[in-house]
Amino acid sequence: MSRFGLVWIAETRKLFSRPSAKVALVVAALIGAAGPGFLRFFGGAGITVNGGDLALDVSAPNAVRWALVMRGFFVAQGFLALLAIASLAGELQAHTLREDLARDVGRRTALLAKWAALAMLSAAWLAVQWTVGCLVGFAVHPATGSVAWGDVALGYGAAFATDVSFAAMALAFAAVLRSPAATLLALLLGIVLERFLGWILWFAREFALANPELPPLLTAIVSAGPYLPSAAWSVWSDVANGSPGQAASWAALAGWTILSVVVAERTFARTDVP
Amino acid sequence: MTAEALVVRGLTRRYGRREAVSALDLTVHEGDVYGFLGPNGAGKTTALRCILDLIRRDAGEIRIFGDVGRAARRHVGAIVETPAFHNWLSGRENLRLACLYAGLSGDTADREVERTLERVGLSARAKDPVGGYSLGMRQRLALARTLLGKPRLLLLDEPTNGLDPTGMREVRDLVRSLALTDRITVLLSSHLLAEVQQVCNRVGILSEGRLKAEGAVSDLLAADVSVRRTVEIGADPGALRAAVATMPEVTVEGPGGEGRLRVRLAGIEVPELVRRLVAAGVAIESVLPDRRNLEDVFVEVTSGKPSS
Repeated sequence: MSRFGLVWIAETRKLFSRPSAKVALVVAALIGAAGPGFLRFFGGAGITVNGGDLALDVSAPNAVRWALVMRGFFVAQGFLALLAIASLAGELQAHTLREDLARDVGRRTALLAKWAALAMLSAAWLAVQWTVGCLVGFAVHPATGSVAWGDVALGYGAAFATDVSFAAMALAFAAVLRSPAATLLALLLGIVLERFLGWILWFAREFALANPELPPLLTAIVSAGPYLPSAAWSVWSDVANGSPGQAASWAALAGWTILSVVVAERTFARTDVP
Repeated sequence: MTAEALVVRGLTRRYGRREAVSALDLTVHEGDVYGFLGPNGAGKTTALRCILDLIRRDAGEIRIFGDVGRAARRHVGAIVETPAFHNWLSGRENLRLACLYAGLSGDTADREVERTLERVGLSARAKDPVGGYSLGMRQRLALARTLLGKPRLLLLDEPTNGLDPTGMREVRDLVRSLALTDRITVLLSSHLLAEVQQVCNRVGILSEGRLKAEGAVSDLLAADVSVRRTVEIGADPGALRAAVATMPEVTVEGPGGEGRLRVRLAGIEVPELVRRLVAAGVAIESVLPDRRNLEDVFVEVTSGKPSS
């Protein structure tokens, strides 16, 4: 096996042995069960929206999709951020990274192995959530409904892609800041500010659409919303609903991922390991 | 002539305008147990980190068994300052992870883990989480980790730091055994000069980022850079002082150890002194020539003055 393969196995074993990773997988199972449970509760609750009954598709595929939506509410990102920070900034601070890098292993190899291990965790999360969601969903709901299984499966696949992208950005933050606390704070602040920017752009775009005489550059700026990281990281939502998602968001997903990997790799290559 | 295990030429590392390591030249021959000495802040750990590529160097070349860069680290096992572990994992699991990083897997890795655990005497506690290990056990586990993959060169930075006398002796004996039995070249950085004198055959003394002295321990101890020669004499102090007062070549420095008197000689050898004292009727119980030790050499080299 190649050296990268061995280091990837090491990082994956290490990551999955962390208590926070074990908790993450338990949370994945709980969310998998919660999707069908909540759908059963709301499906029979007679909820009225805009004067009409909320017509919910009470079915196993929709229940599994609901679980994906619940996971997307910063739950998975929170765990991924914590684990990415622990595996890079945390190991720098605890000096365990020094012990690994004193071997004949390249820094790029170590960094990419950490990223790949985070991808493995995301895959494990989604697999656990899917499995539990299906088991509970089949037990309490009809096996089919208006939501297609294929769309839900593609949504899970897209969620994996967005997790991988988010993990790359978390590693880039960790490589630049090196302190676990600073990285966590910067990530939280970054997410909040980016959402805020997204809302401003959305309002500005509404204004721009009502004022077609605005300069083209300004119009382009206010139309940048789909390229923001948050738009890229929520593209799975469109996919799970049967839409291919905006091309701009997919492009942004690829762009932010590449940028994050390049920043992380370049920074880490020059870092003095304490 | 023995092969060169580690060759460092012109190694320089700056922090801002300060040179932590300045144009360091160092050669460790295969089979050496090389003591790397220096006061706090001399640049020893910085130099070791540069050798391991953990920190960037501003200038210089490093070769390990003729290889450079990552290929050079293939030959090395290292302990840098306090060893770090994943405390929630067992000693054995920590070593298995280290094996993967060292390019070992499967049965080879399992055998290597058991071999090194056995070598450092930790097999019985290998399944316990490292978080519960004593400092001495952590140090031995760190030594086991350095031995994975059978390195030809060990870089040990203060391997006995924080250990009690028993732990220090265990680690010292282990290092000696690795050098003699396993024929591993060792570079040992330490503050403990007595320890270095016992274990090492060659030393380099670093001060302010520069190598101030280097050579075989026996040569450094033999080289009388100071002109002083002192002797401790066990005898009745009154009779001894009276006899010495008649000898212009001998000066009383003060009390020595265990009731002895410390005298300085200039232009007279010890046998002649003893003969004259006996002739003067002094009943001599003991004569203890004050031998130079590595501490004297260290103080002289790092301070530029003869040690008192």
